[in-house]
Amino acid sequence: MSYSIRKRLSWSLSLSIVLVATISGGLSYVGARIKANDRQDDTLRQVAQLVRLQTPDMLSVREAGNDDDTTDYHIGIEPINPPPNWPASHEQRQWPSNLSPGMHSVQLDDDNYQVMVTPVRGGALFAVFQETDIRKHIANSSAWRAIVPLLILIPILLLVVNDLLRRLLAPINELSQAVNHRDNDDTSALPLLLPTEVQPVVLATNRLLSRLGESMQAQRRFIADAAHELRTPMTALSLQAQRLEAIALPADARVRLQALLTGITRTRHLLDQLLNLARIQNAMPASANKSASAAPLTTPVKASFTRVLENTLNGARTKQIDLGVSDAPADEVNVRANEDNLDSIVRNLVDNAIRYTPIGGQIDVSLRIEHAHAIISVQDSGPGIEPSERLRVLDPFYRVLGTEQLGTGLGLAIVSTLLQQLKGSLVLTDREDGGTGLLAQVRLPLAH
Amino acid sequence: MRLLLVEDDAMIGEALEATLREASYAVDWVRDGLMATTALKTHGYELVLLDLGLPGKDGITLLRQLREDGHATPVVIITARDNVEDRILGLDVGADDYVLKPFDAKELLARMRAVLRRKAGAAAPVLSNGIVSLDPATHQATSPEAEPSILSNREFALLNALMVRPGAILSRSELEDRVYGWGEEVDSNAIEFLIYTLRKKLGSSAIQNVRGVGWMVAQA
Repeated sequence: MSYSIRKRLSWSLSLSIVLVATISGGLSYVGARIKANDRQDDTLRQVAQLVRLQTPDMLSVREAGNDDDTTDYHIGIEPINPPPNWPASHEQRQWPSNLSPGMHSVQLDDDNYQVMVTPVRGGALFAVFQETDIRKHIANSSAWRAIVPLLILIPILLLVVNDLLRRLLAPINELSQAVNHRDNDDTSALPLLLPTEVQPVVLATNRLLSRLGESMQAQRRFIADAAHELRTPMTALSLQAQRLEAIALPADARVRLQALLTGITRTRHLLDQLLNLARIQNAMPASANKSASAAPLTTPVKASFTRVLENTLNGARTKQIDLGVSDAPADEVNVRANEDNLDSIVRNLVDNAIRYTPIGGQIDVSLRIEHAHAIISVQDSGPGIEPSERLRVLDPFYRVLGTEQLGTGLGLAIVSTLLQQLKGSLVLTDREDGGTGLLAQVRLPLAH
Repeated sequence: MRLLLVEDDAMIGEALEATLREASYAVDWVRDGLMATTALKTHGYELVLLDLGLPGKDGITLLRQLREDGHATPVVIITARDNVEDRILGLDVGADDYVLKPFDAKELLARMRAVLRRKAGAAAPVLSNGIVSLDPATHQATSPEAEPSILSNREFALLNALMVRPGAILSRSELEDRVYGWGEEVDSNAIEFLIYTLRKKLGSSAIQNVRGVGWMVAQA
């Protein structure tokens, strides 16, 4: 099963942080409340200590002064049994008369009080008290204050942890992106500037890539060598067959000789195309740049059209096909490709068009400019290609079922391989004017 | 005409020797570079057909030595090495042409003829594509579809431009460059008019139009 390390780490770390924060927050909240209660009890006791030294008269004055309830602690001082000279105006709570000196929790009417009962000078009992609601309120707010920093810091910590995770795992993401966007044929090593934990994987991948590259190289070299080695016997065969042509032969032998010569021509064409494809595939991006500096990287398109038409007109005319250039800008258009490669692209498309266009058909080659790209189109009046087949026909030796055409099956493979290297593209579609036939559009960057 | 064929492969050598004999050349066939050097020292040849991958001495080395010794004998390389660098190297070292295996016997013979013609420095020969022929000396054009006729200077310039390389397509502006001098006013349909008059004199198929590109005369 696949999973993301980043997501897992992020979730589990976040969860642990929240859990730890909740527990420690809860503990400090409870602790702070208990402490606040203790502190308030201490305060009551201290006040009681002071009250103890007073006479009831002095306390009545003091109590009057304290009547505005402005102190933070809302501590009240009242006699349990008010003496006769106690100021009547004051709101006097009806304390239970049986309260002994010491700390009590007392309920009067609807209010709860924490009361410290103490005797004063002269022996009368006084209550130093505080409303429980106020006490609770004070305890709660000081408990909250204790966990506020935690509440602020936890989200920051979560953000920092997630950001760190993203940063630390970014090289791995970049690596997988880079591997994803690689060309099919790119077997160069992956960069090793990665965390040590991932390096073994990258090293193993690089070893695999280099073995893959070697075997791809070996395969291409084999194709090139095989095609090359076949040339010598093909030359001998072709020369011998051509010598037969010069001899007076019976009519039926001549027909068979023609078939033989056609077969030889076809085989030679196949060898040429095989070698072309092997050569193009061997010119990998890295080495392509090297050879590009030798050959000029800019080629006029219309000159290429002329060369290709010069070489294909005979074939077209034997099938009475009207082959021509239907549309091209008056000015010269240069594309970023060398002459051989551009000619090869146009040639293969025109060859295919001639092969599949019926006798008396029409083939239009055209050129236009679109977004700093040259669009080279070859449109024929043949049967076209089914949409489902349009990608498959780019594979070497793939032929559309039901066609008996004697192509090599390599033309479109050569075109698409070349276009990959030239940063161009090939699109095969139906004709835009609604007629039957194939429209092959090549898109190539303009040269500057 | 005596030729030296340097080819190590027995099958190709035999076939090529026979083909060349049938084309009325006298052929000496050697199979390695050392024998080729000896043969070149002892006999005079008018043309050498040279394979590059040879035992004993590589074809390129042989050719380089030949040129360093001052031999001007035309050399046509016949090889299976088809990359551009090899072709450039061969021509730079002193080959007169470079023919790639497998080749058509007819093409090889035509290339040999062209090399020999260039070496002879033949004065403007009669140009022909097998259908139309044009004599640069008299401006006379002949074609199977019509009587021989003398062409005007402009007609001749246009046909000559096309006949120099049959099968090559020349655009309107290329033809205008060949037919008209600098600064001459050219009517927009001047080329079409010249082609019309040429077709009238030589038959309608003498000059072929290639839609959207230009005109050509058929290749032989």
